[in-house]
Amino acid sequence: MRPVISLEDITKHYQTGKVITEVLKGISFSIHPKEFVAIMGPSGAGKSTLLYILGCLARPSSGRYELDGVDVGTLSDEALSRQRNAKLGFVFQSFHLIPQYSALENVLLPTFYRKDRKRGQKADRRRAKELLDLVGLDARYHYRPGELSGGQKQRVAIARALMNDPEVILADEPTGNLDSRQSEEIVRLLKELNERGRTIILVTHDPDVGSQARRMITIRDGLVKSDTPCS
Amino acid sequence: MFLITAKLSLKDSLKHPLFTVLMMAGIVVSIFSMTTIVAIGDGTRQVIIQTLQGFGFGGDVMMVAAGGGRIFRHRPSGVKTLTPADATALKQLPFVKAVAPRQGMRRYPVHTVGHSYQTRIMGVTPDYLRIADFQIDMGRPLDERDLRDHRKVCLLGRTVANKLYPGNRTAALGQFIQIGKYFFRVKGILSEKGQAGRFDMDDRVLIPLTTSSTLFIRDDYLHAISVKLADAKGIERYQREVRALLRKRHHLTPDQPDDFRVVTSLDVVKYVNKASRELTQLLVRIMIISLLVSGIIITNVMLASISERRVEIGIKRALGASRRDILGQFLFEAVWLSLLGSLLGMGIGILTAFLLKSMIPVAITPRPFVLAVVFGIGVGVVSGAFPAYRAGQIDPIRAILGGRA
Repeated sequence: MRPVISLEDITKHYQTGKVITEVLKGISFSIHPKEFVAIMGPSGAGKSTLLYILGCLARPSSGRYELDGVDVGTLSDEALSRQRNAKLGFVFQSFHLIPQYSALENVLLPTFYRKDRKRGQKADRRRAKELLDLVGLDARYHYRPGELSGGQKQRVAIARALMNDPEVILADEPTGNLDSRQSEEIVRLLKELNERGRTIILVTHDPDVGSQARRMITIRDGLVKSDTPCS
Repeated sequence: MFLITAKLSLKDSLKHPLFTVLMMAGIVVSIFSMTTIVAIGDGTRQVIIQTLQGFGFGGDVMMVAAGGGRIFRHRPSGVKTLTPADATALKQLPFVKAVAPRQGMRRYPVHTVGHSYQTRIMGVTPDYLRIADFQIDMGRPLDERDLRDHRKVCLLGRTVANKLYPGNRTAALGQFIQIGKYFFRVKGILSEKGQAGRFDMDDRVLIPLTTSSTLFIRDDYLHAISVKLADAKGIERYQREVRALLRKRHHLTPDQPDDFRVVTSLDVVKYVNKASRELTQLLVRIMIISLLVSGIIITNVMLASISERRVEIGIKRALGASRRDILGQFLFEAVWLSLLGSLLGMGIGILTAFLLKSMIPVAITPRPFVLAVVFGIGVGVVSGAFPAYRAGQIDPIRAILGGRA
C-alpha cells in the first residue's frame, strides 16, 4: 500500500540575524493509511516543527515531503492551503476554537475554505451535526466554546478536524490542557477513530498518551532516535 | 467563492461589534457632514437661480447698470454715469425693442393714516411693467402723461398694499399715501409676482421716473436700464454693440475701464456656474480631508482588530484558508463596513437637511447618494488594502503558538 505520508531527509533551520538554528537535521519516515503514530520527544526536540511541516503550515528547508502522492514542497500558498483543507485535520493543545462561533459553526469552518462543492450547505450542516453526535456533543450544537468544558472543546475540535474527511488527523498535544479523566476520554476517542480507519499522528511528550498509539517515533536533537511499534 | 468570503466577513464583523462600530464611526461622520454640505450648497444654488429668474432675466433682456466692476454687487449710491440720454440712444439701436430706464432707492418709509411700512421705491417709465413682466391687478398703469407732468402717482406691489391696508388692500386704490414728505395717489395695484428666491418681488412701490428725479434723487441720472431685444439670438453681439455705444457716449479712452455694466442672462448663468464651481472645489477639498480621516480611522481600527484576531486568522489558515482568502475577507469587511457607514451617514445627513429646511435653503439631490456609494467603496478599498494584506501575511504557526501562551 502507498504511504499517505513520506518524508525523505527533511531538514529545517531558522535564521535569526546571523545565528542559524538547526531544528530538524534530516528526518525520514513513512506513514501508511490507518496507522496511529505518536511522535514523542522532549521539548525542543523539534517535534512541533515536524508537525507543522507535516501539516503544510511550514516548508522544510530541504528534503522531500509527499502527502498522499503529492510533492508539497513545490506548491504555492494557494495549493498548499487546499492540501491542508482537503487532506489534513488539526487538533491543537489549546483547542483553538473561534470563541464567537457556536460549536456547530466551528465544525463547519473548514467547509468555508473547501474549493470543490461536492456537498451542499444543508448536507454540510447535517454532517457537522453527525460529527458532533459522534464525539458525544449532541444537544450542544449552539453552545459557544466558553460554555463548554476543556474536554468538550477538544471534542468539538476533533469533529472540526473530521469535517472535510481528511486523509490524516494531526493532533498537537491534544491532552496538554486537560485533566487526566478528560485526557483519557480524548485518547479513547482518537483510538476509536483510528479503529474506524482514520490515520492519526499524535505529537506528545506524555508517555502515557504516546503509548496508546500503535507506533511510536521518538525525536531527539532533530533526528529520529527510535521508530518502534507499541504493544 | 465570493459569496462565502462575503458571508464569512459579514458574520465575523457582526461577531466583533466594537471594532465594527469604531470602523464605521469615522465614515458615518464624514459622509454625514458631506451630505449636509451638498444639500445646503445645492439649495443655495437653486435659490440663486430662482432669484435671477424672478427678476425677469429672460434670454431677450439685458440690463445696463450704472458703475463698473463686477457683475453682482451692492448698488453704489451716487454713481452718475448713466443718463436718460443713454436710454434714448439705446432705444435707437436697431435690435432694441424697448428700454426701461429706472432709479431705485433703498428701503424708504411709506405711511397711511395708522400704518407705516418701509419698502423699495422705484422711479420707472411705463415700459418697465412690460419689460419686467408686471401685471396690473387693479386700477391703471403709469402712462406718458404721468411721466411728462411729474405726477405724484404710484403703483403698489401686493405686499405693500397688504401692509398699508391690512385686510382690504383694494381700499388703497385712489387713496393718498405719504412717501417721505410727499403725498402720492395710488393709481394701481400690481398683480402678485411672488418670491424670487428670498427676494419678495411684490415689496415695491413704482412711481414715474420724472417724479423720482425731481423729488427724491434730485438729479436725472439712472441706476439701471433694462433693454428688451427684438430677438434673443444675437445677444452676445448686441452686448458688445451696447458696450461700444456707451463707451463712446461716455467718452472713455481705451485705457479707461467701463463705468457701467452690461449684464445678460448668459452672464448670470456664467456667474452661477462659477459660484457652483467654487462650491464644488470646496466640497472636493472637504471630501479629500474626510477621505483621509475616515481612511486612517478604518486602517487603524482594522489593524487593531486584526492583531486581536491573529489567533482566529491562524486557525483559519490551518483549516485551509489561503492568504488570498484571508485578504479577501478583510478587504470585503472594510468595503462593506465603509459602504454601510456611508449610507448611514448619508441617511443622517438627509434627515438633518430636512430638519434644517425651515431655516436655510436645502435641496435633496441624488448627488449625495452617488457620492456616498463611490466614497464608501473607495475608502473601504484604499484603507482596507494594507491591513488586509497584513492579515494575509500573518504566519499561522506563530499566530497559533501565540495563542498557546
